[in-house]
Amino acid sequence: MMNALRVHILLSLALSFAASTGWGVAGEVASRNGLNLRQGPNGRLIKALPRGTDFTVISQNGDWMKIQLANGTVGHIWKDGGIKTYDNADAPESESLTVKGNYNLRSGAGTNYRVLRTLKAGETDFEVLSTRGEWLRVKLPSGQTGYIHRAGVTEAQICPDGRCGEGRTTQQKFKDAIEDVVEQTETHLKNLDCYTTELVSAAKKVVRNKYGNRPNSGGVCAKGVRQILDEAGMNNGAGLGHAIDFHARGRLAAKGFVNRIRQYPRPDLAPPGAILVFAGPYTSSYLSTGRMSRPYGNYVGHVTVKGDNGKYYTDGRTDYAAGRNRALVGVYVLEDPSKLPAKIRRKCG
Amino acid sequence: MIKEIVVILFSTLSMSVMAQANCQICDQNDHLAQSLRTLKYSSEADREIGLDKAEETLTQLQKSRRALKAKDAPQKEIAVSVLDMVFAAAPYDIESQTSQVLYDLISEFRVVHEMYEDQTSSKNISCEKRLVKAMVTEVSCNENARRKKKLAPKNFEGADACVQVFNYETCLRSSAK
Repeated sequence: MMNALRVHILLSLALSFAASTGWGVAGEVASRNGLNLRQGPNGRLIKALPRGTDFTVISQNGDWMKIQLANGTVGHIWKDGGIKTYDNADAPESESLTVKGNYNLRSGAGTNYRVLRTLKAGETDFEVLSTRGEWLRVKLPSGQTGYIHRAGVTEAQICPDGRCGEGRTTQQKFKDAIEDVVEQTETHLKNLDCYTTELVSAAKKVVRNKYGNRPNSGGVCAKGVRQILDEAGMNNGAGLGHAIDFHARGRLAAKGFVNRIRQYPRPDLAPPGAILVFAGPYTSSYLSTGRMSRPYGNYVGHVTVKGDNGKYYTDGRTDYAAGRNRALVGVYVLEDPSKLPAKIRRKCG
Repeated sequence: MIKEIVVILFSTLSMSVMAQANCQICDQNDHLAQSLRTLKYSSEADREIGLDKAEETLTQLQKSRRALKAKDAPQKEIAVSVLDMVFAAAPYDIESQTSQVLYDLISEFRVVHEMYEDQTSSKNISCEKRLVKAMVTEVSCNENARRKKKLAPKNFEGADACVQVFNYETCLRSSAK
């Protein structure tokens, strides 16, 4: 959580600085599920932006960024929703590069990204579009774009005005710091994507194998979601109590999930992999007495996992998150995987 | 003497009003069941309406419970209307709350239990009835497990063996063939 917070704060500072100094910070939607473009912070939806949509940051307001799309549309996106930003200001616009040795052209700024092709020594006429830490986003003569490590080309060619290394200006150093933060954020978000994928996949598996894929909950929702967490490697088989305990007694918070109900006030707005907790008519009496007025839990609360297909997974697979007599009290999104068991952390990083 | 006559008259009048009220409950339940049966499960818009009506069904079930408790209530008539309403609502009640309240009524009122057995014991019953039967069986099984202390009192999860994997959509597809 502290790491996530640090990244969040640094990114906020960096972007505030970028905006205040008038840098042309460009970016793209990085979240697998895209992002919503809204009229204002938490405002009306303008459109859903798919992954890879390019934009320019106009300003920043708390957790929200005001951006402009390539077609001129202006709106707001949630800053932590999964974005990549990069500054084109230091890119030598028309300078072409020559590759020093055999280097891979990759789909992203890191060796964990897919190799698009191997560039051979002596290949030339690359245009640098932007820099990302130790990586350059380049455009090949064929029009293909990708990332190549800085070491693959002569350093002088990528230092604007020859200001490299110790001779860098404060602005250049700060921009490098921003790139590092952005890279950390990207890695963090990429890892969270992995956990989300695991959770959603586990949800489908549990509901299919243990509940016959039934299109309704049978009243043991807490059990279903606990089994989903077990299957995903996010719980060790221990019971988590009643559905409302996931929220009221901090069962999900203890696993690094954070309640983001303010960002996602309705189930349909929640991202895939979010765990939704609902209160019911008997929630108060259960929480004050620790006992249910009926032998089964359905009277008290409900819990479900949002899938990536518009369905909700609990001890069944439902079209809607909960019955109408429910009140949404928690939309839990995993933000701090460090609290999860080691096995899943090794898998997702 | 006059006092006694007044009391008898008042009691008769009260019972008659109560019986009327109970009949009203039957009519209300029947009306709701009918409106639920006009919905098409295959339509997403209808499922959305069904979700609203499932909540109405819960309210009706509470009213029906009060009506069943009334002296001289037409219990059989009420039980039939309750069951018909729950069967109609079941596909839209994504949390099976109506089936769970029905389990309460079955446990509390013998007449509801008898009518329920009567309507669900046959092999060739509708998918709606099979769905309700599966959910009532699951709740009942978990409750028995708790009673027999096979489950810890604070185990809200229920027993693995109690899970009913009945799939209403699969049943509908099979019936359509």
